[in-house]
Amino acid sequence: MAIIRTVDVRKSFGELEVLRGITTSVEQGEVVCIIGPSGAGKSTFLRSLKQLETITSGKIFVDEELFLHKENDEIVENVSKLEQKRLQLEMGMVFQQFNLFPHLTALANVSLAPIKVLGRSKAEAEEDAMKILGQVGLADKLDFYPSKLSGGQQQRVAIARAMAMHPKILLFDEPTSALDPELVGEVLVVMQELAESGMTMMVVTHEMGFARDAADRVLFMCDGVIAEDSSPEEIFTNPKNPRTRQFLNKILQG
Amino acid sequence: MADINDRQKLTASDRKKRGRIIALAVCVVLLVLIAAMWTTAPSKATLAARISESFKEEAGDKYRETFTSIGVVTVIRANSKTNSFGAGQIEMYLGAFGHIWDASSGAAKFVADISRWLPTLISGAGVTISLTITSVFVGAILAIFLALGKMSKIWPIRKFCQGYIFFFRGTPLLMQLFFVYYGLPLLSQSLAIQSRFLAAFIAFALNTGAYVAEIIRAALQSIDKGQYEAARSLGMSYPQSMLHVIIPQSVRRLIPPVANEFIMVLKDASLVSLIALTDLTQATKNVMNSSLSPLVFIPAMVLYLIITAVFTKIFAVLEQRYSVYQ
Repeated sequence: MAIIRTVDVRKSFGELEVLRGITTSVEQGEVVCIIGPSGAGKSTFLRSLKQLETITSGKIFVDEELFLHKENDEIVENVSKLEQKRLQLEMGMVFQQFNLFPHLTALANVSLAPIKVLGRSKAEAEEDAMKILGQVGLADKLDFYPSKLSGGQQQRVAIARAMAMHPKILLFDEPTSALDPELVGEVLVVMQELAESGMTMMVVTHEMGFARDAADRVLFMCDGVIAEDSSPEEIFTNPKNPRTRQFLNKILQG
Repeated sequence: MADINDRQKLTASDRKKRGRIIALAVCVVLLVLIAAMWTTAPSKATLAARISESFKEEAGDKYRETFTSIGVVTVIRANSKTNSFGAGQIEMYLGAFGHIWDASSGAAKFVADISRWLPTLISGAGVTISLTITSVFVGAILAIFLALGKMSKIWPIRKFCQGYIFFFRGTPLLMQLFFVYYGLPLLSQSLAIQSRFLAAFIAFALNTGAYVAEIIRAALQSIDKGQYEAARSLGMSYPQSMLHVIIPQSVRRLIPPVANEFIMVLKDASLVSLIALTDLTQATKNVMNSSLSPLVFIPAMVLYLIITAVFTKIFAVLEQRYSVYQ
C-alpha cells in the first residue's frame, strides 16, 4: 500500500516552474532517497508534501486517501480541514536546520506536540519521549537544552521529535547538510537503524553512501522532474540517464 | 586538561562566594554604624536649645520651629512668619552623628536643605514611579493585541491597529496628554477626568501601547521561520505555535527594548508637570520656587538615577532568567 502517492505535482514561483509534473509513490516500509543537483526541486517537492509549500497543481494521496488536489492554483476537491490535519500528521518531517525549539529541553521538545496536539497526558508523553530519545542514543541528554547539544545530537533530537508523533512516514530534508563532517555519521546510523526497523522514509540527501546502503529506491531529480527512478545498485553502477551519470561522476569524484 | 578546567571553575565560584561574604560584612558594618549614629543623634530638645534667644525675641509671637529628619540627619529650622525669605529671619541647625552644626551656610546648609527637600521629592518620585509602572504595564497588555492585530490577516483589524500605532507614534505625547486632560472635557463635560493622575495614566498607557506594539511585532517576526514550520509540521495550530513556541522565545528578545521604553516613559513622565501633577520634576520645581536654590536639581537628578539604576537592574535580572536555555 502506498503511503504517499503524487500525481503530476507542479509548482511555480511566478514564471519559474520548479516542479514540472512529479508522479511517484512510496510504499509501506520503503526507503526512498532523492538525489540530484541543487535547484532540482528536491526540497521543494518534499516540503510540498508537508504543505510547507503550496503546489500549483496536482494530486497528493496520503495512505491512499486524497490529501490535496489542485489545478491552476485552485483547490479542486475539498478535503475537510480536520481530515487534512489528520493526514498531515501521518507525515513526520526532519529539517536541514533541525528547527528544534531552543527554549525547551530535549525531552520537552519531543513531548510537546504529543501533549498539545494528540492530547496525551504529560506523564504518558514523557515516558514515550524518553523511550524514543533512548532509541536515538540520547537517553542521558533528556534535560539538555538544544544549545548544549552538538549538531548531530540536535538532529537526533529532531528525529525523535518527529517520531514521537508516530507518523507512517518520515520525510528528511537534507538532514546532514548542516552538520560538521565528523557529526554526519551518528545521524546516518540512527537513520539506518530506523530504515532497518521498517520505517517508511523519504530522504533528500547528498550522502551517496547512505543512499546506496539504506535505500530501496533512489530517485534522481533534475530540473523539476524525476529523471531516473531505480534501485540503488542500478543507479550507482549503471545509470541510464546521461544527466544522472554526469551528476554522479561529479559527486563521486569530488 | 580537565583538572585545569576544574580548578578554574572552582576559583571562579570561590571568588563569587567571597564577594558575597564581603558584601554581607559591609552591610552588617553599615547597619551597626547607622544604629550607633541613631542612638548618638541629638534629640529635638538639644537641637531646639541651639536656637538663639535673640532670634526668638526678635521674632516674637511669629516665632515658629520645624523639625525634619531623614535617617540620622535631623534639621531644626526656626523662622518668623513675616518674611520667610528674608536674611536673618531664619536660623537653622543640623544634627547628626552626635554633633550639631550651624546650618546657615556651607556644606551643613546643603545637607540640611536636602533633608528638608527630600520628603517632597520622594513623594514626587512616588508619583513618577507609579505612573510609569502602571502605564507601561497596561500599555504592554494593550500592545500585545495591537501587535497581533497589525499582523492579522483580517484587514479592518490590521488597518485599525496600523492607524492606531501611526497616530500615537506620530504625534507628541504632550499633545496627547493635553487632549486627554484639557481637550476631552471641552468635547463633552461627561468625558472630563477629574484626577490628574488618571488622565496622565490614560495618555501614557495609550502612547506606550503603540511603541511596545512595534517592539513586540519586531520580536515575534525575528523568530526564525523554521520555528513556525516545525510547529506546523508537528500539527500545532496557529494559536498553539504562538503560545508554546514563538512567544516564549520572543520574551527574552522583548526585555531589552521594553526596558529601554520603560526608562523613556520614566523620564517622559516629567511632562505631567504641565498638567500640574506633582511628579518628581514638578516637586523639584516647587522646591526650587520656595527655596530659590538651584542645588535642588542635584538630589532630584540623583533620585532619577537611582530609580533608573534599580529598574535597569530588575530588567537585567529578568533577562538573565529568560536566557537559561542560551
